[in-house]
Amino acid sequence: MATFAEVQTHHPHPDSLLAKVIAGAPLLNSKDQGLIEDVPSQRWNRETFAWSPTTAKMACIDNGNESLKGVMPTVNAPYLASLRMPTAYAPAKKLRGGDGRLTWQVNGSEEFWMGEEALETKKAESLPVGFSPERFPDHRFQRFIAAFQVELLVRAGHGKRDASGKLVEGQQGEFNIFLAIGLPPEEVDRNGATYEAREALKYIFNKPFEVVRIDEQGQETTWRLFFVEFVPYGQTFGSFCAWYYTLEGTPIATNIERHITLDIGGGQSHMCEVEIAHRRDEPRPKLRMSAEQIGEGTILIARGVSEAIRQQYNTIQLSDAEAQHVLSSGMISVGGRRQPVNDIVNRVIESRADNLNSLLLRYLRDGQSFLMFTGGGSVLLQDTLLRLANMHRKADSFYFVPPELAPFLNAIGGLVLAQASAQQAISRREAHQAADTAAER
Amino acid sequence: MNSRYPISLKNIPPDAWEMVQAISAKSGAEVAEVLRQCVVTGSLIELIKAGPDDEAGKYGDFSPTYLARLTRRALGAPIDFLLETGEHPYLATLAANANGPTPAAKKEPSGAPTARFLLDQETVNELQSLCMGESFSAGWQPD
Repeated sequence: MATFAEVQTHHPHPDSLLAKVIAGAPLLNSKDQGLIEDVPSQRWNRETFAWSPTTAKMACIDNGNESLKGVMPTVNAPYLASLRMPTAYAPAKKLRGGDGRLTWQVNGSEEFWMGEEALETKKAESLPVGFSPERFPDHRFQRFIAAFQVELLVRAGHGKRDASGKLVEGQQGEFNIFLAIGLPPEEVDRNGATYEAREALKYIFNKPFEVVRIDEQGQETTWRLFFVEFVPYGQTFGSFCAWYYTLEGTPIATNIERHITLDIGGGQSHMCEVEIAHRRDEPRPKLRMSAEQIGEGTILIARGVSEAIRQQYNTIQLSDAEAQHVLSSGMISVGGRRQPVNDIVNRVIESRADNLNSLLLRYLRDGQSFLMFTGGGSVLLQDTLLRLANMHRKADSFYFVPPELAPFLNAIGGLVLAQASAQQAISRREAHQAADTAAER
Repeated sequence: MNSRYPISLKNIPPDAWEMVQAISAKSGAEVAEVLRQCVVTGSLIELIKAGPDDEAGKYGDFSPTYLARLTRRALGAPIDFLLETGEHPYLATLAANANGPTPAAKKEPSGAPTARFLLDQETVNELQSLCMGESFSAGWQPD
């Protein structure tokens, strides 16, 4: 069967942010301008109970249930650094030989492993799955997101480096973060983040995090971190932004009038419909957006795989995070040996295909819309989804985001939203400065 | 230094007055608002033209770095205009350097905020109307 890359007839507009990222092109516009990296912000001082002006690094995290995905501009180069980390957590143990594991400690907590490092222990704990009020109060999750942000800073080239670019041991300094954060669409309404989501974000807003990172060779670096600003957005809308906006800051020229993003995630799947209304005498189309959850994500399939594995090997019990990992890797450890379980995974996916079909049918049959498939689940289920799409639609009426980008697209587009918010912050700061200057005269 | 606001403006050259009216007509802003913007931008340029006060390089109460940040925003479009029309005074120097640094190297070191506005204002407004790109701290109250 042909892969979706081979059968795609629609391609994103060459000027879109999405096309630039796919091509690996420098993210610069025709005036040689890139994304804002540093944003004038303010930080709340918990001791003095007052705001103080500061400068923050721009970043974006798509706060997925199955994994966190993050992007931020790299230091001194017009590209994006990206990081995907499965939401798996395991308390660290003392390793007595061989290469170490990347180990973390946050605000004097227990040392822990996260992501793939945690999954390798075969004793990974799942972090809470659900909405922000269920996730942010969990102390492990707070540590996880702080450590994740530090690792994203490392990927982007921040920290004190030697001549070869390697991190230098010790204190790395203070980092204020201006963070676009992708939340489930149910948590973002016309007034921004809902009350419940805002309350949840308070758990980490302006909270000091002292993050100790111990790399595989035992080198220890310490990072002081503050999330000084959030730009909450409905995560699936981020993917549309990457498809729709150019690095010139304008929309692409398109004759598509209804664009539906189908974001197949780990915990949940969402749709985001944007109506692009072209009106006579108006040079720029008007946008109307709606978004909603359309069902569970790949977690249902992962749990099915977990159950099938338990029936076959009755001593193996997988956490949700481990089951998601088995789903993507197709491997499991049995009796201490790595063993493929592709047959089990394929069987479960096949048995769940009808469910997926029923979830997506109304969108697949909606002949007046254009569909864009994205999210980590769209990679995992590509064969099934492609079969369903071909069954109901013409090839030029849908598009699969390439697998290397699909998990990140919500976060990449989130940077467009962070950019908008940063520009407003800079304009406000300059207006204040100009007013202060005038007042002093 | 007299800190009182000016209450009247006299001896404005007719050309300048015509430009103010043209800006007002184009942007829909009040003439008074356009004049206010002209004072803000013009005072920056006049201060730099007047030169630093001493060898320390301060301009009144303003450091060169601070002034440079304010001025960059105001002068971005005029510099583009000078380049496009071939009237930039250092065009030859710029052309000689054109094949030098790569796009990556041309980027400024991080640390200082830079006014590089990638999105046009309509896009910012569009995203705002969709309730995206709003800041969290604006509505935040300490417990």
